[in-house]
Amino acid sequence: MKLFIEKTNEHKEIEFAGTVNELLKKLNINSEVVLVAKNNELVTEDDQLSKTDTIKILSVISGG
Amino acid sequence: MNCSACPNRAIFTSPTYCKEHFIAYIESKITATIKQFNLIDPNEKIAVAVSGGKDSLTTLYMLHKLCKNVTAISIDEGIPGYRDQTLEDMKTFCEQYDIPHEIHSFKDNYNTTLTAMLDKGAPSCRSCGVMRRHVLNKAAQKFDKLATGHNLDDECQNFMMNLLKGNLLLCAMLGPTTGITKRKGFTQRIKPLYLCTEKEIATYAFVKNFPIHFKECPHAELGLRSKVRDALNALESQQSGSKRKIVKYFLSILPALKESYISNDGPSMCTNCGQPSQKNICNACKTEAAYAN
Repeated sequence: MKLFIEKTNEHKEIEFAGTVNELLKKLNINSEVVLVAKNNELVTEDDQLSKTDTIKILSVISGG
Repeated sequence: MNCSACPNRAIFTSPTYCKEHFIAYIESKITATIKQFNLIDPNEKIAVAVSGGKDSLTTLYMLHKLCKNVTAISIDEGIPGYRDQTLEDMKTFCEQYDIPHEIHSFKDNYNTTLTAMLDKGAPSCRSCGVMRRHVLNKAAQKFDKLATGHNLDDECQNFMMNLLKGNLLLCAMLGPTTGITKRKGFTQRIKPLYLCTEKEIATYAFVKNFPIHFKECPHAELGLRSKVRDALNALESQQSGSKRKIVKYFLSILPALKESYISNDGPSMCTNCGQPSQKNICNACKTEAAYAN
């Protein structure tokens, strides 16, 4: 899975398949403070992610 | 998961809506907030303070939809590599929607920049906030109302921070409208996103494809606000609806707070710049004297 975390401007490739909620738990990110986009479409916490997806984790908190 | 109003795929939960129903939900919520708190008259001249973030662009977009006479006001503090990019995005946005856009700078008002002030030892967020509000207040004087992008999370954080500081006067100055007493030199502030959460607004800005690039101000300080924000978000994830309940409770006690802590006489004027101030010399003039010259 290709992963981009906006807040830290990190691009990663990780081995993961499961729900959005499971991914956020694995990354220790509170779902309250992010939006998750799969292939540029917003997804909810129950949505399934596969190893081939491109995922963006976007910060909902403004930058100051 | 499907939308609670149609068979389409949901993009948001609590409430569970697809893109189209979510947009309709947020727009009707903002419209209802404006009505509930009597924030604007459609014929008023409205200024919107626009930083280029999701909250201010959503406020600008919605007020432009609802009112005839809306102008965007941006403040250029002089932060190279940060503000110049957001100002470009705002210019493009305002041109796209044909919204008048004014830019007021620290350079024009104080003949300095935030970066230069920080080099002289100014405390970053505090001095920037004081100066920005000062410039904004001056720029907004020709308008009937000044709208800001404060959302439910901001209000909840402000209330909790003021409680932690033990400052009920500052609590009394919060609410969906501030500066309700009409006085010379002060334009009433309104908060049309008052009942929308930060996550709702971020989702709305994403699906509307607003030009927002997350970039943290290079001078941002991690103070009490970030601790309160993290604590509230941790609470919210354990107990959904906590932030809404705190703001609902705050609104129920706000009339009593205003009666106890807000003086009917209103503030006096700064003897240096003539803007409203609780003291003879306002904080902006003090900051300017200390760090701008």
